[in-house]
Amino acid sequence: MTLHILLVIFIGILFGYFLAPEILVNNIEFIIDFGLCLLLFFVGIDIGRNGETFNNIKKYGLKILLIPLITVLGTLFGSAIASIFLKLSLFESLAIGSGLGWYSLSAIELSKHSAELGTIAFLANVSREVIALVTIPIIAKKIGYIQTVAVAGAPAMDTLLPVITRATNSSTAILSFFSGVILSMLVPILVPLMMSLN
Amino acid sequence: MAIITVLLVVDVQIIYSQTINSKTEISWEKGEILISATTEIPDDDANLTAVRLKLSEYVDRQLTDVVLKSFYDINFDSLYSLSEAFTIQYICLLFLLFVMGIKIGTNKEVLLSFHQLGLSALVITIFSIIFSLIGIHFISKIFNSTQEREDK
Repeated sequence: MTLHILLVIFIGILFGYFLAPEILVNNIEFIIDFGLCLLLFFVGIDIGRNGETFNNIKKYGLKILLIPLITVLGTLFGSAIASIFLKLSLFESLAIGSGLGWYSLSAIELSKHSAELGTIAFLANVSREVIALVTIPIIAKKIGYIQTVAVAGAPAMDTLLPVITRATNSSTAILSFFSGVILSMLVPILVPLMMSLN
Repeated sequence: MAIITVLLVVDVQIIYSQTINSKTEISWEKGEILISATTEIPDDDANLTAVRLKLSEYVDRQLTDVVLKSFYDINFDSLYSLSEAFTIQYICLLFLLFVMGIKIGTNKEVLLSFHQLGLSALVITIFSIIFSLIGIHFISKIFNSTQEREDK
């Protein structure tokens, strides 16, 4: 699975770099939206088919909130430690980490402050998504299912949801979706908050 | 949000039509619409289950009630593996990643800036991932025990 993913992205990059047909490039946002909707549709079928799924949510109860909470705390702690090694200030690093993998929003938000920060935010959060794409199947196999949700961050609800669904089970997919929704709600609050503290 | 709602509705319809699958018959008896569904499991030819419901009952009852209770003795795994949804899902995913790759490939500024700022970005990401992974690893026991209890 990991090999397929890497290969497809690599071919895509080569295709975009050398060929880049104009019709495709101009409509790329629409194609991505369409593909995403189609994907979520099939993930929905998957979740809906499993009759136990919604009972699982009830069984987890408030514990379900622990996953996004710990993910945010872990991410912020990690970003704070990273700032020691980098030229960035503590809160700049925290603001970049607060993107939680949602690269378009965090990059746009931070590029208001400086282009450099915006670019780092973009790259950091894109690489979070790419690293998650590559490592989720491995983490699911070697470490555990729930841990894949932590790696994914905010995209656990959309782009990475099919990857998590495929690598784990539908119970974890539901946890992943909830975690992703909560994290996505936190990103627009956390990023400006960190910059205001800077 | 509207799109997701629409998709959820269509999802439910597909689950209906897949579970009460191709051998579904709709008939008209004594002024009532009847829905009869027969399902066969390929590797167990003795296992043949049929359900007959009035349309009004069919709509009244919840999806899970109708499906799970009526087909109680059917092995759902074999139905599941017959479905194409999983494969289509995977193809969609690969297609989406291909388009994402094209998007990165066409944005030459991003490709060039990877060298300059990529390292700081990577450091932040790797630390973020490692610490959230460690955090979740500590609490994962709570969730695993819930899942195990269900399995029992």
